[in-house]
Amino acid sequence: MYAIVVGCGTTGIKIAEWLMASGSEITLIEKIVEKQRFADNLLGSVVVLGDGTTIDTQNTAGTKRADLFIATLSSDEDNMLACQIAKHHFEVNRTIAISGNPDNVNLLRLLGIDIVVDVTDLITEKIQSLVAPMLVEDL
Amino acid sequence: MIQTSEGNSNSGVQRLKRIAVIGCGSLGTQIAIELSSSGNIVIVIDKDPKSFLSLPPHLLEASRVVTAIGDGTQEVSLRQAGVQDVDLLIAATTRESVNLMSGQLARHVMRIPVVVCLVKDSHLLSIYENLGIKTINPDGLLMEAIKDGLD
Repeated sequence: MYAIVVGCGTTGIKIAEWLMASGSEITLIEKIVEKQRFADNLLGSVVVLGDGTTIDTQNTAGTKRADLFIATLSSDEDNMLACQIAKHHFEVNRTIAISGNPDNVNLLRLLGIDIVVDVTDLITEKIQSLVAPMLVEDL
Repeated sequence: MIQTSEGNSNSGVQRLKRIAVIGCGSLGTQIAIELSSSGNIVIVIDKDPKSFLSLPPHLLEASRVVTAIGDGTQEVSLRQAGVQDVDLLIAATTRESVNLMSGQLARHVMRIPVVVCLVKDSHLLSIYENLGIKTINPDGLLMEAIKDGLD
């Protein structure tokens, strides 16, 4: 499988490491030079320097032959744009966006992004599952 | 050009168009001035209330231009600003992705009849035209103007 990951933050790097370990071919996209260099050294020359929300950079990264496209930028708008380019211009089958704002999750799904990961919801659930047993103990 | 008269109206009375503009930068300001001066009501939405200082006071006082503080990518903000029944929405912030998210929200969720987005990257135009969004591309307009000048 060939996957594109946009964004070399902690999430992007973790996902890339996992995909590589599970045998996938990957390319990351990062627009900040320092972050691109760091990730490129860490993961072994798989990081394209450029803006993942442009057709130009996605083309350089080989998005055309990607099976999976994952946008992990901090801006929901940028993740939407990156995924829509991948889907509508490069015809990638599966697009995934992370979303930091729960109010955007339904919109992103409606706009055709295949999987939208609601980060707030995940964290809230995790905290609830950790805190719930403590509340029972207090009774 | 944006038409301000109703093409198929036979009553002879022009209905005022209600127009929403997202982003009160230099372009948003210019659009608000032009469209309100030609007889329309313009709602301008921006996150930063200081941005509204660029709007001419006489248009604000006459309620030809109405301001609303809010995030154009959020349905709640758009509804609070009274955008649900506008005839036209123009997304003209400096950020491409914000314009396109705001525009698609307006068009596909709020069913606003005509949505225009400012899109600087000319490669994106066909994607979003296919998705029901009208686009304005500054580079394309400049090139047209230059070609016209050469003719």
